[in-house]
Amino acid sequence: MNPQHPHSVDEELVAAYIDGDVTVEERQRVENAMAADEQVAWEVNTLRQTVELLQDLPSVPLPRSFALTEDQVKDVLIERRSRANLASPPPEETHTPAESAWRRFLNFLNGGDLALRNAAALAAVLLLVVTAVEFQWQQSQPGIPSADGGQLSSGAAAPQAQVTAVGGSLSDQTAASAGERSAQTSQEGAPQEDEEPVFGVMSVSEDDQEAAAPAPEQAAPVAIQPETNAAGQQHITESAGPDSADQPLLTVFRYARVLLVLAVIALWLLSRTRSRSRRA
Amino acid sequence: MDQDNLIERSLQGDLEAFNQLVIEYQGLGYGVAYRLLDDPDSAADALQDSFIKAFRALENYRGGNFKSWLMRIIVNTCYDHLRSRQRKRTESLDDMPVEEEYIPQLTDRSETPHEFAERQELQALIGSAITSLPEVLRTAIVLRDVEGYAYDEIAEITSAAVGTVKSRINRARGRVRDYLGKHAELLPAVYRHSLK
Repeated sequence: MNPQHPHSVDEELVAAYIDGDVTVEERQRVENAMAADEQVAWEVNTLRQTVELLQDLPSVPLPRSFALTEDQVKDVLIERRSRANLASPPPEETHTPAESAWRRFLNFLNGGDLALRNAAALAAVLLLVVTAVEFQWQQSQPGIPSADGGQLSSGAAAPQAQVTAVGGSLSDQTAASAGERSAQTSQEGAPQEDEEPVFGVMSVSEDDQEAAAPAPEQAAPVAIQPETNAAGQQHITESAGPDSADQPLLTVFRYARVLLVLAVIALWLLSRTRSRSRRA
Repeated sequence: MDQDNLIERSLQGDLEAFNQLVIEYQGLGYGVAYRLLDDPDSAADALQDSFIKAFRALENYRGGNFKSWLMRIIVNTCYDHLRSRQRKRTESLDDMPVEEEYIPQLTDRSETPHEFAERQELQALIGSAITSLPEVLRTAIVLRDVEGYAYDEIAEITSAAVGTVKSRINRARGRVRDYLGKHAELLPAVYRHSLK
């Protein structure tokens, strides 16, 4: 449009007017110019018709898909994928939220150094075998109280013996002294009138047990005090007389179990520690 | 799917994610390339090159309007193809316009063969008018009047001010009008006299 023309409007305004992107004031300005000058009116109208022709052009159909193939950008893909793999954390460190607690537990158990973990498992199996053998052996030797867990089982038998032996005495110490007394008695070979000969647990008769039973309020404290001290047990065992030869075997079993428990714990912890230091 | 997520995955080497963006924008891109180059084969080549360039240059994308960023690559690639074509322009058969590509025109069963032929000639004429323009004017008029982009989008794609864009659009329209006026016999009657 001729800038010298008195009713001229600038080309930016004409474009915006044709596209309807003007303010009311700008619209008025253009329309005033068109009304005042035929040349301006022709200019605006022919441009509007040209735009209509352009907008009528059909959309072009897509001849094919332009999706990229791996070969077209192979070098970039390799670079980006290797960079992405480096940036991601090692797989054993990542746990998806959907991972179950059981799965995490299995991962935890399976973690660690394989050789040490297997050694710990072997120790655990040996522990089970020793415990089973000891239990079988104790079953076949009813006079031998069990070593530790045995404290509970002997706690049921021994206090009965103690109750019988001391005529209702309830303390462990009393039981121990009763054992001593019974041992002395048997050594002296002079049983007292009102006392049955007592030879540890084995000497307790059913009648005596029944006799002890009617006094639950007295027996109860004994039952909840299974910690018969080692000395007491020793005494009772020794007072068993005929089974005293099995005592070293019982001790061997006891030490073997303790050692195996320690071995299981130590080997498993060591396997975890070694695995962690390797990762670091 | 979220566009940012697709871009992020593409940056990690997920080609499938990038191809989802390709599928979304290939129609728009082909329309622009076709109108700028006025040749289906050149447009397809330019568009394919554009997507490859875009994938390679994805690290340079700094957020904002991804469509504008991609369209800028397409327009610039079309410029490269235009210049390359001008350099080795030989009057071979390959350079001749392939009019059979206007497939949608055949779907209008209401028009007579004569009307169809007239419309095809008109569209070819408008296409020629557009390709007669300098690059910047051609881009402005194609993006605005053929593809319907807003002024600010065109400004972003062409890295120009909005005022410059409006000015280019107006000049481009004037030149197309003048070109069509020289071939008024091919125009519909309603335009024939007014454009002359």
